[in-house]
Amino acid sequence: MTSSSPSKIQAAASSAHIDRRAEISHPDGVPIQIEVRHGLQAVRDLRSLLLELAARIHAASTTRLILLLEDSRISRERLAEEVAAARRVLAPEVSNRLAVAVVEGGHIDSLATGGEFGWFEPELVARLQGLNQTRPIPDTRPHSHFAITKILVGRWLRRLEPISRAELAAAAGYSIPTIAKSVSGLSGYLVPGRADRVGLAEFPDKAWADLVSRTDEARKTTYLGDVSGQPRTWSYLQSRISEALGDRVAVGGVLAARFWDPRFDLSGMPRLDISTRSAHGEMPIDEILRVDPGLVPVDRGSSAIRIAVHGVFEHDWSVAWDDQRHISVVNPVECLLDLLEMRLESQAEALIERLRRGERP
Amino acid sequence: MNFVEPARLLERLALELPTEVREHIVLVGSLAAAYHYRGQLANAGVRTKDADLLLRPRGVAVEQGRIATTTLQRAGWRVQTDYGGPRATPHPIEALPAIRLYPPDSFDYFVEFLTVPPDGSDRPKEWLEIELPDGWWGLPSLRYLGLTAWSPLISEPGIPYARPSTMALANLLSHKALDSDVISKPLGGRAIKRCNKDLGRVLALARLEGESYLDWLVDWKRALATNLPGQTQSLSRSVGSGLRALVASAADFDEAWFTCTIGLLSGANVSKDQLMITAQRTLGDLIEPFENME
Repeated sequence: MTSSSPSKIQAAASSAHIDRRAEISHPDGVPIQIEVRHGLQAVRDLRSLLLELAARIHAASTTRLILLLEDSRISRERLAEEVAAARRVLAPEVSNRLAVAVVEGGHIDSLATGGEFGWFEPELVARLQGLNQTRPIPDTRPHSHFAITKILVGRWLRRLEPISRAELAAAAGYSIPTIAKSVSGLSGYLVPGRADRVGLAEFPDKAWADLVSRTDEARKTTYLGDVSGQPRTWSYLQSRISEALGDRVAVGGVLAARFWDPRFDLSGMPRLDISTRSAHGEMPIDEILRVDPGLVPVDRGSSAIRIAVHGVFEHDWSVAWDDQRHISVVNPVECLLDLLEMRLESQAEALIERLRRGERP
Repeated sequence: MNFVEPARLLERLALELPTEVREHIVLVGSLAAAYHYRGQLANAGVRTKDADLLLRPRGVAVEQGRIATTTLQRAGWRVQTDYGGPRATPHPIEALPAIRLYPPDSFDYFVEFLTVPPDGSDRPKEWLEIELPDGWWGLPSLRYLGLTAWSPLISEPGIPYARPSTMALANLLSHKALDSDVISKPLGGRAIKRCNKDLGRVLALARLEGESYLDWLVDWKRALATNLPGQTQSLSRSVGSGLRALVASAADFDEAWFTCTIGLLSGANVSKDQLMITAQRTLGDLIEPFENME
């Protein structure tokens, strides 16, 4: 709230709280502030919110603002009535710069826009959908078994010596008892006679199948598609995303497979896979959407998927540097998960074989 | 507007114009763009009413314009007098009619002669008087038209034509704001503002060029440095203001989109939303880097 807001509005601040804030750019380049309120229950709270936001708009001549009402308990009809009533009493220069959107089940399906937002609703909605997906994924790391299996498979692929339990605990970020419990689930595949050190003797088919089947739980993926009718090239998207996210991003999927196996057998590229790292698993979808206005979030089953963005926790982040293309590349295990998610099973198997034979850069 | 195949027009001009004239003309406008992107366009042509031929440099424009006009007339081309015929005197110069010639076999389109503005001129439009056997005519020049004569491409028949990059730059600089000037004849039954038509052309060119339009930045820098030295920085800073205004105005953007759908993007099924994405990309990929270029 600005210092110039009326005192009545300041008094209402407790009921007018905001859960999240963000900023996106309108197609005309003017920034739009986004205020997200989750689970609004009372009409009086909505009125307070609208009043506070109107005061903020009034105080700054260029402010444009969208209120996102996420999973509100108030019916859509009642919300519409209240918003319409508020707009009737607000000065046009304020109501023109205020929009209210309703978010239900993660989807933005209605938008009451002010005049300054223009007719360009589809892209605004797309950007808001993207913003909606910048919510942190649940702030819990993947199950310990998932993380530990990934580390051990990665070491097995690179034919590294068994690792001490303490080192594994440090690498995985779990306690030694948790490590012991997870390792016991791999007992049939471990290097024998090494109680103090842990390593795989062979590829852990069952554990791997479990890992693949639970990929959705362990790493969150957002899919982006192109609606421009003129999709950007892979190299454009990859270089612009790298520019925007710096060391928070690494390429995966087919590009990573070609790094780990120069003879990787797949012509063309079904999609661009990228992994993004963060402390709490949140995904910078809005930053990626800003790279190309033609991108919008799409469903997993969409035929328009252009980019798959995988969120990786800081502690699970392990990448290599591709000197030739000047990009970070995900580790082989993440790469294999990307390939399997694209149903490129035979290519994934061939990659495992080659990596085991040491045929990599 | 009628459908015109630029390749045929260029072949015809190459056949009928003397070599000396061919070296001093540049095809500009929608037909130049249609020729450049002929492989992508439905039927390799575009609907238009005129073929703009730029005579350059300005110092030879009158002489070459006279030769070109009389040569084409001898070949059967007919002078358009819709806006009045030649004048008895060259004054007032602004009242002189432009030279427009219909081909011998149709009235589907006409060629119009223009020229580049004087060095350093900041006037929106200027005229050169040109005396032909039937009286006085005019060669108009527009403020940024000289940019389109920079390093033209050469068509297969040998007639130079303007680069899409420089045509886009000239259109952007010509419309730093959206004014109310409406083009002389309705397009597709609608009265269209010139700024919307020209800025829409920029978007059509960007759409047709695709990602390689990133190379336009180099052309823009060189064309400005060559044609308008001393103004490079100030012009580059304002290159995007008209396009931004277009993007922010639903009614104006609708007009721009409409002109594209009946022009260069006819048959391409580009929706308004998709053209808006092209506009956003153009702003992000070209305009902003150019505005910030040192």
